[in-house]
Amino acid sequence: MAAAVLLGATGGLGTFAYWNDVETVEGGVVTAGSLDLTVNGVQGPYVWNALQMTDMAPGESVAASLVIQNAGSTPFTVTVTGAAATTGAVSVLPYVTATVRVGGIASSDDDYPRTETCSGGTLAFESKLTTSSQPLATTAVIPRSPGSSTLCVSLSLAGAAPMDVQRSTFTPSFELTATQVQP
Amino acid sequence: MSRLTRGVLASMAGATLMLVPSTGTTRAEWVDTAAVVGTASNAAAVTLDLDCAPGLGGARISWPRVTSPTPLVYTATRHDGTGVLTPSIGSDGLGQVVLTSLFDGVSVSRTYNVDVTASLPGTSWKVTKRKTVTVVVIGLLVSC
Repeated sequence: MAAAVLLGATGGLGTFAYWNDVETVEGGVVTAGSLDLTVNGVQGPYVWNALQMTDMAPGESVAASLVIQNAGSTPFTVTVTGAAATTGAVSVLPYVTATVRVGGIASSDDDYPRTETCSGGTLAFESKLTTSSQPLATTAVIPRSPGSSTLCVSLSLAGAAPMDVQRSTFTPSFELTATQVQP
Repeated sequence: MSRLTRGVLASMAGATLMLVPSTGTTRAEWVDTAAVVGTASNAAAVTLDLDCAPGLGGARISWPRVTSPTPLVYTATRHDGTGVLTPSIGSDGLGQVVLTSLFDGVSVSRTYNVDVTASLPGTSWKVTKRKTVTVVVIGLLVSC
């Protein structure tokens, strides 16, 4: 009786197998982007020897341009601030006019009177440099690497500069800040 | 959970939601800076350092020639009515004016003032310096 019940209980159930399959999906590697500003190919600080003139006479000017490059994967804009240090009994800074052109290029002139200038691009600043830092320019958006722009700066000694500024020196300095463009 | 507890939790959730701004997304900005340091430039100098060497009956006034950023222009004037002197370049490379025959045959003693001017071409920058030459005892003794 007991055996019959057991058979009756199991005989109609059968065996069920479940098929299954497993697929592994590998996720792609997610890498954070980068924001990297270089100046003439250098991470900085960059020593700008080209923007220099010895024994500057009234009316002469020196000019040089920099390549601002986006070496990262994030588009950015660049703001430029600048100042100048001076030595000498009488400051020459009131007689030095700085011109900044974004996207400009510099001319070269080795013959007296040397008048090197910036041309092209957009005029961003034309005034005196001071010992305090001040805004000079902001670039348009510079796209991801290898996007680039140029910054041209000219410094001219006024033709009316008095003789008492003789031998005075001035040393410009700039700070470039690249800021990510929000997506 | 009692009805009281549920009520308190519901109130807290409501308060929390009230504190969250509806536009509460904060975006960080990446920045990178680069310092660019210029090199010193200097204003030119118009200098003139005169030297005087007495000779027999005359004298030589000389000065180092400035050539940067361009050669200065030198002029010399003798203030005894003889007018402008013409500077030249000595064998030693110095600029010079040579005074000769200072004895006029009449005076026992005589003084000559010579002004030399250096000018930076194309500008108003110039400097003038004077040398005084004295001739005594029929031109044999010259001092300056």
